Amino acid sequence: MNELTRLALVGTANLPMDVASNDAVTALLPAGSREQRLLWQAGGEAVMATAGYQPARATLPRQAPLDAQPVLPAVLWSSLSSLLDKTQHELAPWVVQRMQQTGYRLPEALLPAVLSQAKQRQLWWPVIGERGRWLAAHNPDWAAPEVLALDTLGDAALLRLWEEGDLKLRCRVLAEQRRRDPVAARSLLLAALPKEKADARLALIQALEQGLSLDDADTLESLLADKSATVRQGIGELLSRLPDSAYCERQWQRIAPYMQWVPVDGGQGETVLQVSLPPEFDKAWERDGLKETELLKAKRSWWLTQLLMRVPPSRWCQQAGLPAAALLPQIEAHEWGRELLCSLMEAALRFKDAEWAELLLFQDRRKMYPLFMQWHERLVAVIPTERLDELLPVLNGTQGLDDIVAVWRQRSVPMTSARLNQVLDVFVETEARSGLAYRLSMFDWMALSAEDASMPALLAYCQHLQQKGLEGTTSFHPYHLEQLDRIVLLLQAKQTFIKEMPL
Amino acid sequence: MQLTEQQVLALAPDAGSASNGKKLAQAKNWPLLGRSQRALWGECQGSGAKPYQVRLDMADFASKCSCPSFKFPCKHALGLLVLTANQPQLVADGSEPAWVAEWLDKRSDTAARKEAKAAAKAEAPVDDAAQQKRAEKRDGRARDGMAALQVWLEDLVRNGLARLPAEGAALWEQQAARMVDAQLPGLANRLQALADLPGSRPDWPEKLLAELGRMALALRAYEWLASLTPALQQILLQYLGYPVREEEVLAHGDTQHDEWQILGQVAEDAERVRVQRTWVQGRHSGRRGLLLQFAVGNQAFAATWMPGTAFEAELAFWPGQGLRAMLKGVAQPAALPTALWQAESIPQLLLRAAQALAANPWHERLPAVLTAVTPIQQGEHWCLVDQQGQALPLHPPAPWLWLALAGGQACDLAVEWDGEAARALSLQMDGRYHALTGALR
Repeated sequence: MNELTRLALVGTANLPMDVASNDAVTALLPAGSREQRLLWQAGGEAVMATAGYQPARATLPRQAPLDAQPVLPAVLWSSLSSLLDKTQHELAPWVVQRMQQTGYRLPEALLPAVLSQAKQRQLWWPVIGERGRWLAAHNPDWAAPEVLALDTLGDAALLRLWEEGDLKLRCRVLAEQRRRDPVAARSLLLAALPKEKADARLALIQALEQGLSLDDADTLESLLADKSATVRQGIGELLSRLPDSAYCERQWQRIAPYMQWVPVDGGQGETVLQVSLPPEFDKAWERDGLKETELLKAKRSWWLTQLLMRVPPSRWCQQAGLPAAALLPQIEAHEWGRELLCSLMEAALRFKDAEWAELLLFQDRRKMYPLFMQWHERLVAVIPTERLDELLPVLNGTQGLDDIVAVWRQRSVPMTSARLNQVLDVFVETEARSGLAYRLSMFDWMALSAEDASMPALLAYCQHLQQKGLEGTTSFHPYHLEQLDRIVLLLQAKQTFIKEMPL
Repeated sequence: MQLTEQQVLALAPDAGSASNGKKLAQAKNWPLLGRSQRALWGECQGSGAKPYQVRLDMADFASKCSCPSFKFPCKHALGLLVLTANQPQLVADGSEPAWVAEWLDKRSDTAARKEAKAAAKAEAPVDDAAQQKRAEKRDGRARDGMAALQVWLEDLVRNGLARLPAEGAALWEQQAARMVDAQLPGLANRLQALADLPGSRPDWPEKLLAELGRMALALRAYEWLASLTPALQQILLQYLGYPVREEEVLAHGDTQHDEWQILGQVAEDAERVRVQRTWVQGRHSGRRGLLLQFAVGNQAFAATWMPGTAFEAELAFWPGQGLRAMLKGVAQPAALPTALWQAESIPQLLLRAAQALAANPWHERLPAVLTAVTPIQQGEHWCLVDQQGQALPLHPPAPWLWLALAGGQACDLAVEWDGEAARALSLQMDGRYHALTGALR
């Protein structure tokens, strides 16, 4: 701070002396009070200082390394900017993937917008190119997204993460350790559990779900002594997915006295199912994760249901000596049919029994309505994708379509031309009926997952619907027409990307 | 060179208009499209039976649409421009429909009438006695106001500036209100602008004292007004806030006909008023100009100057050899520039700035195109540096877009220099214009 400013800050009334100033300015000052002269001096010096501004010295910065990757074609930049705002953001992950496949990188002009938002940075990071990484290095807030590749770490580093990481990371570390050495992973788990609270114990135990095998059964059995009922139930869930485990055998032994296939009088080998309910709840069942009471459920039938859902459905066939298809009608017709079917459905899900799941899908759904509707999609999810492709025409009707598409979606199944044609066939059939408008959201997913070859047909169908909506031949609400417009725009944008970035 | 979507969307009055304009930028929405040397037009199919008729003047991007929107430019005009920027091949040359030609002719007529009216007003016989009386009355009021301000300024430095951070903004607002009463809005605005300075940055005492000093110099100079050159008289009166009517500028202002490149634009929010500075430079004359616009609240600026474009026109300059100018007559479209013209070195810019200050001690900003500069980070601050290692500080925000586009390589850059730091306005890269003012640029 110069003397003149110091004087002005303190005030001439508080500092009786004048201060030395620029001679050239001082020489020009007219007579006046101390305050006047100070102000003129300050004004004159400010003008002189600005007029005599001298640039500072600086070293030229390092240049960005050359980028071997080409920038995305300029014709796509406009579409690209729509992905960065709210307009068509859902297409962004597909575009990133496509850019990776075709070797393009983001145009430089979009890099600041992408890097400055954490979510966008994470998504687009693989395609920001050398220029993007160079730019990000200039801003501490634009660091690379944290995608910790555990499989690249050494054993010691992995162990350190296990000891120091948060619960989410420890679960990932445990899964990675299981991949490397399942025995060591189980030892780690057993050593760690006594020090953890119930929630953490459950999360760590559930980390065994990936790659669960009969080798884990003993460990899980030993953990059934846990004092938390929630943890025990979680362990029971895992054990009951191992059909050959002692756990499942134990449940079968428990249920056997209450489920009998009795020969029909005079019948030639024909049997009939007789079911009785367990008279009381054995406290030992609690250890296996069973609950004595459940809200709105009759106790004894609830005990039966819980035991049955922990038994592989294939055991039913073994006991009765009948194939599943022959058993199902008897079960459906039984006095306790509803409870038995519920248990069977749950068991088919737990043991991923595709044969039973498929059979149960085609049962007389009226009996189970509305319960069945809740199970439908989950049962579909047990069936392999190839089989679902075959079932789609049979499971037609919108419920079947909804559920199959939901499962495709869950499994990220590509929308091939064959699948698309099947879906469109169902749509064409149901077009005249109500409900089509409410399934438009399905097109969002189809637009994103459609393979290149399926795109023209999908776009043509959406435009056909759009036209019908505009003509008023389909009873679309204005909201649905807007939705359709958005889908058509999405498809057109994707078509443009496909055209400019062929594989 | 081609217009870019970014350039067009920068004209949007709000984010909603930009988004809606972009949605309309599809061929299917436009059953009719066309362009001529001076205009661009199209019919946009809305929800009604009759399509909206949209027309744009390609010189100054003024637009008119038959839609009822009160936004300016409306989403249809933006949509037409975005479509033209992204798919120029869709807009074929053609003869102007009557509704386009009539609008353009009407614009020309309005401009001509405005000019004639200004000339007539300037030439109209004046009641000298009444005018003299009015001037004396105003002058008396101004003199009283300036005398009071002089006393107030002296009080400030007598009691010391150190107490000001604790005083708050009211002190400045009160004094600014007095200057408004004294019909000295120039001084009022400057006082108002100083309200937040005390305590706001480490070097506030130097900045504040410099501003107060400049103000004191103006008060002193006014006492010697008659002995100053006519140009300096004009400069001083404008600094104090004596109005210069646009009619006077049109009728008597110094004029320059040229092809004008729009270097960049800076918009600032003042108290309830938005100010837009548009910097232009003449291709042949080398003259620089400032097109200043004001708007209240959400009101749109009267003229649409699109940075990165050029127009051919006559500009009339405010008296006093300053930079402020206005359009005289009608602008004609010019080819889009492929580069920033008149690039100069940092010493050349600083010499021009010194010369400007020599002619006008209250001079504030000037535009320039600097040759081969690159941004560099120095601690928390950013500078621009030339190939000789000479650096000028940059105003915030950090120049991320420039850094991303140039990747550390030198390029010509349009700036606004205010004697303290440069504000990056724009650059041209690979035949595209990039505005660097605004968020994250």
